[in-house]
Amino acid sequence: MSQELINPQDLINQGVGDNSVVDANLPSGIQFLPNLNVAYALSKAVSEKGIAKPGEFVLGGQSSLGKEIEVIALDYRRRAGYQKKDWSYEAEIFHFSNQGDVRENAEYQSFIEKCPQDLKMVNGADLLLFLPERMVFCTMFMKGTLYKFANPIMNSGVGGRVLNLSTSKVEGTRKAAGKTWYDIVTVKTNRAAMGSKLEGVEASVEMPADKLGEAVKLWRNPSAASVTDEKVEEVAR
Amino acid sequence: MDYRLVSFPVVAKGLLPLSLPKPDAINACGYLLPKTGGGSYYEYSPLDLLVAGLEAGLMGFFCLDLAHFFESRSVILSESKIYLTVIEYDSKKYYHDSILGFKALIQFSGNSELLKVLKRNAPWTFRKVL
Repeated sequence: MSQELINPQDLINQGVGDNSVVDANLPSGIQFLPNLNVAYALSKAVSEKGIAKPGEFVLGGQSSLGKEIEVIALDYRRRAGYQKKDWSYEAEIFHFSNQGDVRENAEYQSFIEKCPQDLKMVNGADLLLFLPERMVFCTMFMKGTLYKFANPIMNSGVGGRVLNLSTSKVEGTRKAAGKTWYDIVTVKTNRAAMGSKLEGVEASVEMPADKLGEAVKLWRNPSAASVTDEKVEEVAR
Repeated sequence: MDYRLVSFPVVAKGLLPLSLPKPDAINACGYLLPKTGGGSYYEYSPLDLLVAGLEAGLMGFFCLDLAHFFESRSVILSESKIYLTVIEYDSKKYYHDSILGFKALIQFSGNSELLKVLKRNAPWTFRKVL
């Protein structure tokens, strides 16, 4: 994994572009960047804390951003973890799949296959996002029904374009009758991050370069973050 | 339209009933200040501290987390007691009103430029106006 200095403009226009497995067996309770989640009725943020409504985006389990947010998508990777019954993670592994297929990576595949029986396997896409309104870099772990929306977000957000994400409630039919979940609707805007090479957009959104550097270093090497005593607050179902 | 915040009350943080953790990306709500010698750091906005601290003093509790305070409350009484002055730079027109008054003005007029300036100075207080 390369450790050289990060050029924000290259990152916006090309992505991180690494193709390596990052870390396995991270300790539970590690929070390298704030998590962005979609709140459900049973989420802690809704049922216990009362700070969000179902369908709203929640940052770090602490702050509601509403049903519509603006983001800049910076990078994508595969992420898998062994989840315990209390939603915390026993071990996690991250794989940058920008330039390769996750199926070709033996280390990642063996991690998935060796899931202990008493734990649940959680597998999906992990996005590195910037929220211009909050000046915050965060990750969004898109697993389960959200997994299919990772690609549209990354494809629409090429070149540092600002995207408008909103949630819409879906009620299942036939086999999924009685179940509800949230889809993410992605809409392109005509604004982009400063330094973007896209044509026909207003490159006006400023990203703090030093915070970007810190975020990308943690994104590439999550175990470098300090481990907190409290467990990571999960807003997922 | 170019708006600027020209005056707001001075905040004595030590006198307010606040006991807050170190500001980070979430609980400072994106209030970023430049650091001497380059870089930037998250800090609590003085206006947000005043709103939360005054409310805590009025209602008789101790505020331990700004994120939880602002997310769990829809009505904040202290907003009617704190006055701000904003200048519309081109026309030299002054607006002097309470935070609640500014919120109402933005709601009715849909003035996103004014909201942008106030949100930059007090991100928690003005986060969900429009």
